[in-house]
Amino acid sequence: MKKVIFRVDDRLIHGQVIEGWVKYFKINNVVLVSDRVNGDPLQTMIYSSSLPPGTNLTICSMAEFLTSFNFKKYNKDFVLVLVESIDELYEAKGLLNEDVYINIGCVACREHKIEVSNTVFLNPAEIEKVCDIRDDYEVFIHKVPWETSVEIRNFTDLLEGNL
Amino acid sequence: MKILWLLIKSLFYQANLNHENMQGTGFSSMVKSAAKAKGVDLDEDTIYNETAYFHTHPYLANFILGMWVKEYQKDGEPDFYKKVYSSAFGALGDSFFWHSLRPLCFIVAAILGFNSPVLGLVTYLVLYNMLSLAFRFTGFSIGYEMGRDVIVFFNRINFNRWSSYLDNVSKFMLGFLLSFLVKESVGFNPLILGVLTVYLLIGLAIGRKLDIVFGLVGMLFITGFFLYFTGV
Repeated sequence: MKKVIFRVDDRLIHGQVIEGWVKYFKINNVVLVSDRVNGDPLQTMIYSSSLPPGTNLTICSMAEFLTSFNFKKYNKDFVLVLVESIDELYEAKGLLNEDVYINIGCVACREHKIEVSNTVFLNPAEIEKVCDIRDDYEVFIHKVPWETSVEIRNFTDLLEGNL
Repeated sequence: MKILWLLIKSLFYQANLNHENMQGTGFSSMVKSAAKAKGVDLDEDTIYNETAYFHTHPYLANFILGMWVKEYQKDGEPDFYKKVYSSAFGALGDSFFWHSLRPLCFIVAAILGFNSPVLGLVTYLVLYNMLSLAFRFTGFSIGYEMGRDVIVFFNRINFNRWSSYLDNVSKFMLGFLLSFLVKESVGFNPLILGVLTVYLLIGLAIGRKLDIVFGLVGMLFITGFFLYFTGV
């Protein structure tokens, strides 16, 4: 597994993230990128309290993340970067590279969304953005590490209504 | 009485678990009774809106329910904090109840089950349900009392540390169980104890990297070869 994991998860820190990723890979650094959580003391306390002891949580806004995220800081340890939506992942596209494991974990069902997996529901605009990222890097739908990951190859077919 | 009914109802909270809204239907059904228990009448639209996507740890859902009613009563942001707490309680609940408490109860039950299988079974059910039901049955009142600050209760009891404490107890009990099993089955046999030690070390070293079925099949082959060549 690559050391830097970017995960799209609209529930941010929840059971699958803790049991599936943080504890499984013994991840000590979690970066939560969210304008909604950043600067809100109550939400910060809630998310910090849900992590196992010893895990460092950094909460930052998207703007801060884009300007200050440093891969070199995490070259030995695992780091899990959590963003809430495909839009945010797309916004951070400039930071992606071959050493990043791009993972779509959980995007809840909303109206007019297409069921891509049992935890990932995307609308056509989001699928297009994923296609755009996939042109340069591998993107996986991967709920938890012990389940098989799905590499996204045929999203273009999905957009054309062929799946 | 209304509260008791609500608590009993919460046992069926996941009856309509599905991929689209997960526990949304259950929450919507609970919120109607919860509000009524606190003298709040919700209109149909509000109840319907609560069927939206919602997923948390089922044993801690009542905390969110209590918080929701409190926030609703004081014109706060019940749905916003419902979403925030659903994730956090999912993390806390999964870690404690499913990752740590369940294996510990199983190990304790297995140890006691040696003398009396019925005792083992009863111990498992009592131990596990004692804690899960305690959280279910106190959750609503605590959530209602503390409102959106309900996380303070979990911090006060250091709940995120409980999981690691229980894991340590489980490891000790598992060691006890394995030693007991070896002693009861083969007595002191250096060869078998040596093999078991090697298995344990291999498991610790590569257990997490292997698929569980692949690992099991691999171990069966190794054991077969071992038994064949040693003539056991």
